[in-house]
Amino acid sequence: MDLEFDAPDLRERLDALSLPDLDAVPFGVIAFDLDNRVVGYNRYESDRAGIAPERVLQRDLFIDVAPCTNNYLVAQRYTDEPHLDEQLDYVFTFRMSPTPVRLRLLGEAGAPRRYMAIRPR
Amino acid sequence: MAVSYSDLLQFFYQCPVGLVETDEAAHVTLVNPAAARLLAPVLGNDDLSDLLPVLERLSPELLSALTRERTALGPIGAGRRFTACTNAEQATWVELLAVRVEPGRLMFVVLDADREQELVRRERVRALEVNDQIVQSLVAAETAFGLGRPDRAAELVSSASAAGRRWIGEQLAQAGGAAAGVVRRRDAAEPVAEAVEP
Repeated sequence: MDLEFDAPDLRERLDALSLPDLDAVPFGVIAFDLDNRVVGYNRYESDRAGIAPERVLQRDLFIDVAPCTNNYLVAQRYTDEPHLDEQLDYVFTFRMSPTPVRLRLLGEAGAPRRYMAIRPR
Repeated sequence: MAVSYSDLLQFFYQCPVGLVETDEAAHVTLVNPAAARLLAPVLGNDDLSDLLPVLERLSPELLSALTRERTALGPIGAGRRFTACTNAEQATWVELLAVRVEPGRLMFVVLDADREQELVRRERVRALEVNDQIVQSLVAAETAFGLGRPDRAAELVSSASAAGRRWIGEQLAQAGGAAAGVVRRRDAAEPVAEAVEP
């Protein structure tokens, strides 16, 4: 799939994909609903994190799946900003190792799906 | 009961307290999500592979203690608390603890200290407000006395004294009651040397 992390219309293009089709995206994508429940966890992210999708789906993104992002820099942005499209450098802790990543936070008021796109730095 | 590697990983992954393991040069070997969450505001362009720049920014005191106690095993700077503000605008604070597990292996514990710092801040503001109120009343009393109005001066002194007593009472109640030795005066109050003529 020729979808790029920096694509200006990334949110719209992810919205147009079915959840299983997220597996074809060439960077990490976590889709979650308005209650922060993970509804999509693509293959790229699953392989990188070493976590099977079934251990993640329907769980709270900021409490169970990516607790390292549960602060004002990331989680709070989804709550506060109705039109969110922001990139930032961050550190994930895959298998207890510090892993620098680039995050793209995507959310739109009224849309049922929100996204966290992840690529290695 | 045998604990599998993945159980152990999940335990540290879900732990709400930040844990970081480093070597003696502060190179990070293990870190859990809570530590990444709490330290993220001070990382800037750093990738958390090296804790040294983080410690330099957050707590030079802890860094000094680590250098001073470079051969000691166990808690570093025992008895001291190392707290640091990670973002002044968001009022986010952490407390850091360091333990030398074995020579060349350090464990850092990162605690969320936002709530504690907010309580301390509120208490300080309240103490300043009460102090200001008392000082203002005393200044007004002094002026009233100078203007030849001792009754008004006495009234103002009484109200200042009542405000002070009320605040101390509140503080003692919050501290779980007035246990002996909780409150200590730095200096004893000056006794009245002789009765003041009316």
